[in-house]
Amino acid sequence: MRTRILHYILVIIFLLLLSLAFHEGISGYATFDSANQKKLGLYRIDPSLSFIPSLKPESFTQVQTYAVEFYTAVMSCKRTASLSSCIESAVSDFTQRGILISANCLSPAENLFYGVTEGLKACAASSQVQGVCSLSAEPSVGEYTLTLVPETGVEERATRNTQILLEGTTLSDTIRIGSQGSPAFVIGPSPDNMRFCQEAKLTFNYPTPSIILTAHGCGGEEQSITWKYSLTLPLIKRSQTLAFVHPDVSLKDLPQIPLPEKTTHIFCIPTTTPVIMHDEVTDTAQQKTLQYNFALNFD
Amino acid sequence: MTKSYFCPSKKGVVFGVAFLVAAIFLLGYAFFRVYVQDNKFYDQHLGQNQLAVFNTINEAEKALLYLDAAASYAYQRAYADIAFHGGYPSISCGVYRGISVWVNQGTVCTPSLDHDLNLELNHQLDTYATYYPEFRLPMQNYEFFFNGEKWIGAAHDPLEFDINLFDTFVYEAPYSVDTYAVPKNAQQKVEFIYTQYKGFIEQASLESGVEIPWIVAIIAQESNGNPQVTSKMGARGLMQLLDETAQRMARRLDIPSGYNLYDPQTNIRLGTRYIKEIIASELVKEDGVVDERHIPAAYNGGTCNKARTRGALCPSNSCVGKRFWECEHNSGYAETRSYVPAVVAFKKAFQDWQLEIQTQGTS
Repeated sequence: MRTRILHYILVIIFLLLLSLAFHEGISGYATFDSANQKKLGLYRIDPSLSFIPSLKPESFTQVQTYAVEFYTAVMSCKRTASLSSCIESAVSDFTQRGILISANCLSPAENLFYGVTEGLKACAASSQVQGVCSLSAEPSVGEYTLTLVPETGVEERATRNTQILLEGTTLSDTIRIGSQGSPAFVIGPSPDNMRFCQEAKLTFNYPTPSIILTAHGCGGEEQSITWKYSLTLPLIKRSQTLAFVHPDVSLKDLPQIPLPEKTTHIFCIPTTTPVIMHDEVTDTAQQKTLQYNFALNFD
Repeated sequence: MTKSYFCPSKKGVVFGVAFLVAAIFLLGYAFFRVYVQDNKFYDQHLGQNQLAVFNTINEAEKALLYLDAAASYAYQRAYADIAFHGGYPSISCGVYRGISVWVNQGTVCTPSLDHDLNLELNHQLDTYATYYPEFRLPMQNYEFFFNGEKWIGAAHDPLEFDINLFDTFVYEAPYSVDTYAVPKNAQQKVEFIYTQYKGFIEQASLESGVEIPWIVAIIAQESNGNPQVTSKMGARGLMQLLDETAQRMARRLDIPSGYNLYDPQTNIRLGTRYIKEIIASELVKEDGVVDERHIPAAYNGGTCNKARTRGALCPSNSCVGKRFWECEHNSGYAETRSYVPAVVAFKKAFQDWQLEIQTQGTS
C-alpha cells in the first residue's frame, strides 16, 4: 500500500515537472527568432513625380531665337565694318527693341584669367618658333594673382604642363609654357639668360596698372620682376618654351609674334528673376538673378 | 514478506532509475526554458511586425515627400545652371570660356532644353539623393518631359525599403534630460534637505567618496526629505531602501542587524553606500566613460542581473545601443525614465545653489 502511494506521488511530481517544462504552451505569447527574422520583407514604391516649373522653358527658347538673330545681324554688318563696331551696333539695336543683350557677362576675375591664359595658348600655338608675344591683360579693377606651378600627377617630367590658377576662385587651366612644366623667365641682360622656377606668381593691379612677377625655386634667391604702368606682358618664345622677360632686356632684335584677333564672344541676357544657386567659392547657397549666357563665333 | 521501498523488486529498480533519469532531464529542460524565456521576454513586443511594416511605409512616404520637394529645387538649380552655361556643351560648336557656343562658323547649335534639363535634373536630384543616405535612392532614375503645364518625372526603378524588425525600434527618445520632468521648486527642496541633514550627508560622503550632490538629489527625489516615508513596495526612509538592499549594504558597512531604516543617519549611510557600488560598476560607463544618467537609473531600476534580463542598465536588444531604461518600448522602466531627469535636475539645482553661495562669499 505504502509503495503504491509512493508511486502515485512520484507520478504526480513527474507530471508537475512536465507542466513546468512546457508551461509556455499553456500561457502562450508571441515569439520570434530575432536572428532569423530580422528582415521581414521588402516594400516597393514608385517614386514618379511631377511639378509645376517656377521658370518657364519658353523663355529659354526665346533667348535662342534672339541669339541667332543677333548673330545674323553682326555677320551681315561685318562685311562692311569691323567686328567690334558691328557687335556694338547690334547690341544697341537690340536694346532699342527692348532686348537687353550685353557683351559684358563675365566677372572681372574671369575676364582677366581667360585673357591671360588665351594669350599664352595663342602664343604657344603660333607657327612662329622664335619671337616675342605681347600679351595684353583685360583691365579689371582690383588685384588679381595668378599662380603658375608644374602640373601635379604627371609621372613623366618631360610631358608635364604648367598649371595656372587664379587665387580666390576655382578658375584653373593647364598650358604648355615651360620645360618640364616649370614656369620660365628671362632676368637679363640677354634673352638667352633663361631660368626655370618651381613656382611663379603674377599679380595684376588696376586702375594703377602694374604687373609684378615673383618666382621661387629658381636655384637661387627669390626673383621678382615689375612692369610698372602697364598691363602688357612681354613673352619670349623659344621653341616650345615661353618665358617672361625683365623690362630691361632688349627685345628689338627679336621678331614680333602677332596674336590672332578674338572671334568668339560671350553675350548674355540678364533678367530680374531671382534664383537660389550654389556659390562654389563660398560653398553657400546664394540668391542671384537669372542670366542667360551664350557664346557666338563670328569667324 | 512485506516489500520495502528501500529493498525494491527488480521492477521497482527499473522504474526508479527511469524516473530519476526523466526527472533530471525534465528539471534541466525546465530550467533552460525558464531562463531562455526571461531573455525572450525583453525582446518581444506584441504587434511589432505590424509596426515594422507601418514604419517602413512611413519612411517610404518621407522619402517620396523629400524627392517631391527636391524636384522643384533641382529644377530651379538645373534651369539656372543651363542658362548660365548656355546649356550642355555642344560637340559641334564647342565651349568658350566655360560657355557653350551657340553659333560657330555659321553652324547653329542652340541647346535642346528638354535634353539638357533631363541630364541636369537627374544630376541635381542625384545630388539631393546623396544627402539622404538612409535609403538607396536610385541614381539617374528619371525620364523628364514637359506636358505644357507640368514637368513629369517618370521613374525607371522603384524605391525599395527593407522591412526591418530591429530598425523599427531604434529611435531617439523625444525628450532630453534638461527639459523633461524638471521638479518644481527644486532649489528650495535641496536647500531644505541639505540644511536638515547636513551632518549625516557630509559624513556619508566622506565615508563612501560619493559626491554630496548625488546624495541630496536622490533624497529629494525619493522622499522629499521625509524620513518616515514607506512606499507600496516596502522601500523605507529618506533614500527609500528596500530591505534586501539595506541588508546587503549593512553587511558591507558592518552595521549589525536591528538597524532602523527610518533613522536618517543610518538610512543615508546605507543609501550612499549603494550609490557608491553603482558608481563603481562598469555598467554605468559608455565607451569607458561614466554616463551620469545611468547612476540614478540604476538606483531606481537596479543595475543588471547576470542573465542580463533584469535591471535598468542591461543592454537592450530592441533598442540597439541603449539600456533597458532608455528604451521607450520597455514599459517596465517608464518610471525610471521620469526618475532620471528629475534626479539630474535636483543635482544641478544643488550645484547651482552651492555655486551661488561661493560667488556671494568671494564677492
